[in-house]
Amino acid sequence: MRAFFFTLLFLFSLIANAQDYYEIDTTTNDVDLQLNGFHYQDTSSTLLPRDVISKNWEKLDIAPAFSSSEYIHWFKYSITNPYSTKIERYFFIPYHYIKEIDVYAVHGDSIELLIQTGTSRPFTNKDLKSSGYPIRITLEANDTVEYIFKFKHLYLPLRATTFLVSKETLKKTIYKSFSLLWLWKGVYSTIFLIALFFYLFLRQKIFLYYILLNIGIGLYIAIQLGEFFLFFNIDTASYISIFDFSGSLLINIFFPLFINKLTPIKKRNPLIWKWMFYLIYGLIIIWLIRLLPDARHSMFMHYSHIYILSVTIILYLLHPILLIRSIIHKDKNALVLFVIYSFYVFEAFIETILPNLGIFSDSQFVNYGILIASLTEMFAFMFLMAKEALTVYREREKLLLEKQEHQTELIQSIVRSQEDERTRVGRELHDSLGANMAIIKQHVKRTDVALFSIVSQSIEMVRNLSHSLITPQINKEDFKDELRELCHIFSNEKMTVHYYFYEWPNIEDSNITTHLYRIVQELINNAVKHSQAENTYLQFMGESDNKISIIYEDDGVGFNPIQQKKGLGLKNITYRLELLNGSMRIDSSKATKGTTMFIDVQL
Amino acid sequence: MKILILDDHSLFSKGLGKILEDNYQNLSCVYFCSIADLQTNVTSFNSFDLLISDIELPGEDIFDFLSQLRKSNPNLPVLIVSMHNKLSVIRKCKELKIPGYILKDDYDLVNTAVEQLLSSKEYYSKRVLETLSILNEKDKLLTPKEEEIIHLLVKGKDNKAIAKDLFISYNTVKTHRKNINRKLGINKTLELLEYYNENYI
Repeated sequence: MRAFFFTLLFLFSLIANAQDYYEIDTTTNDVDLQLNGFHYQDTSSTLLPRDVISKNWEKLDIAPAFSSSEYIHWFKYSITNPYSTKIERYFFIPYHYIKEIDVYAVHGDSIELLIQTGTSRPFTNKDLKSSGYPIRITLEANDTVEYIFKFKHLYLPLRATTFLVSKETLKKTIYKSFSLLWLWKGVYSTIFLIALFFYLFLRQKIFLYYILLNIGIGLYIAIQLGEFFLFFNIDTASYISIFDFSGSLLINIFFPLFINKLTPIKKRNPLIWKWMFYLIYGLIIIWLIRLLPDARHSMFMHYSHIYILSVTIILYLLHPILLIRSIIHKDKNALVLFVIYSFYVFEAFIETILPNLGIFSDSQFVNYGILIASLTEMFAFMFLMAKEALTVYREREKLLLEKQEHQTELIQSIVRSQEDERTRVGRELHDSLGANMAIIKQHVKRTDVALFSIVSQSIEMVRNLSHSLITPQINKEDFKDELRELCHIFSNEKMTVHYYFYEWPNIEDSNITTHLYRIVQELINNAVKHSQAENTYLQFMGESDNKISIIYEDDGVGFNPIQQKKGLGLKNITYRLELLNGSMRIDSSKATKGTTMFIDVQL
Repeated sequence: MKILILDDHSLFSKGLGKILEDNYQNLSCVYFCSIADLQTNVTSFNSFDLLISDIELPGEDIFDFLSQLRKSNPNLPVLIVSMHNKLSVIRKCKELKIPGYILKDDYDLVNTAVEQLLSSKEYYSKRVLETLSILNEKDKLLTPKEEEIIHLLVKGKDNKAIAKDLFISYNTVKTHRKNINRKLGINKTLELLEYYNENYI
């Protein structure tokens, strides 16, 4: 017990004896200045450094964090150079959106403005290209200097972390941050492009949500890291709050939408979902108001920030609850999402909340965690999306196949019903009209030559018509004869059908011969009806029993194949070719002489 | 005189028999409406002078029956009376050396046909012969368009110029040329020139 009290007393004595200045040590190059400095809050926002010096400073022992307000925060650090040589060090403030930072050096009575920096200053003479604010100081041998920092953050939250580091440490930090940043940028753009590709290819909303979510994350991180700032090399201060908020707005809108696509949250919790989006609509309204410059420089920023913070916290807490419900209901992806989310929140906790509570201090490279979390999140989501894409792709393939089958069936039934109808009409013509005509012919006197020949011709016409209507049962040896006859029947004084056979293939399938027969019939029919041709030429060319080509030519007027594609005759041909897996090429226009059609069918 | 009449339409076969019986004395007709029916009742064709048959018998292959009959009884004349004026059918009958073929509405030719067949002559009605004449048309090798293309090629024109001259597309010319080469069995333009010299000059 005594030992315990002794230890306690010893610790107290340490605190009591703690120096209120920093001695620069060779072993520890970098010092977190926040842990032993002084703070003064200027609520009037008008004080000059000379006035501030005499105010009551409050001793700091944790890294301070301030919510958005219009107050100016002053910090005071005493720094001693214990060496007998002049040395050079850097103040390093690893944040990027503090509006103004002024640094003064106090030597006895004189106050010297060392540097004015911050986002509202022009970026000139930066000796280190870096995100954050490096401020160079030199210390004479065995000298102690008091430095005063003025932080003006104006309606933005402030974490006034400052480090004192050597040039080597600073370079190392910057190098480390840049290398990780480039890795992040690479992964970010790759994943962005993959998602974009998936969206364009699959047209699934999930990828669009992911793209927009990622734009939000990218925007947010770029602002946090000061990337905008470095990229444009100009003062972006008045826009930063808008960009920053745009990023978080996109995240807040599209994160739930994206998650909902992976696991059915909305369906499971319709009421919560509705209220969640009412809160989000509030964010959108704030965003719109913030577009007005006047609003950006008023207390609206302060109050809206409170709203944003509360909504963000509510949403962050809501998601794990919703996910847990999904897990209980064993929804797909719910567990994986919960794990990713937990990691994300855990990271945010360590990165943001703990330092703000002063429990866990910042390092010089404050965004390390954000990038690592973002990378992990991207990989994890990409994995889920790849899974999703695969499912969608498979489903689509299945659907396409079904659709194709359905279409073939449809065409088949169209063609079949057409055949049936034709056969029915043909039979009817042949059996009733044909039979009656035959009887009429018997009653007509032979001496009445004119009537007799008309009746004979009519009988012939009915026979030919019914013959062309009734589906021919064509077997392979008859097919060539049928085609010859077909060409022959259609030849008359007006139009001659010439036909050519070359290397006749053996067509076993009577289904194919019937379709081909009908196609040829349709070709000649079209010629008779539309072409005004005097000659049509039909070539039937086989190719070693596995292909037949039909080449149709005429010397008629030609037509526009694109406009006329919907004609019944051509449509019929197209249907049949589709069933036969055949192809057709038409060379015709109003300008050409006649029409040429190439039809190929694999046997 | 005995005549066999094979037709699935009994009204038609009876009518036909009536016409024949009116024309010939001591003629008896035997009617069957299917091949199966005929084969079960007739064991020998020797006592018959003529078979008049339809081509279309539901569910039965008439050509199979006819070719057997031509082999077993080559001297029995057969007259086909069919509705079909179809090249493929007529050609098959011709190939089986069936001596008679008339169409059903050529009823006024029945007596002539029977007479001719009974005196061991052939009789194909005019319209049937017309249809059969399709076969006599000689198969040509090249189409006029193809010949035109050959002429232009020989004149030294290339595909593009030919397409322009004939008002057809370049691809069509290419296909035509491919087909010309296939039909003539040539690969080079030089061979085309040889063909041209042999056939057109």
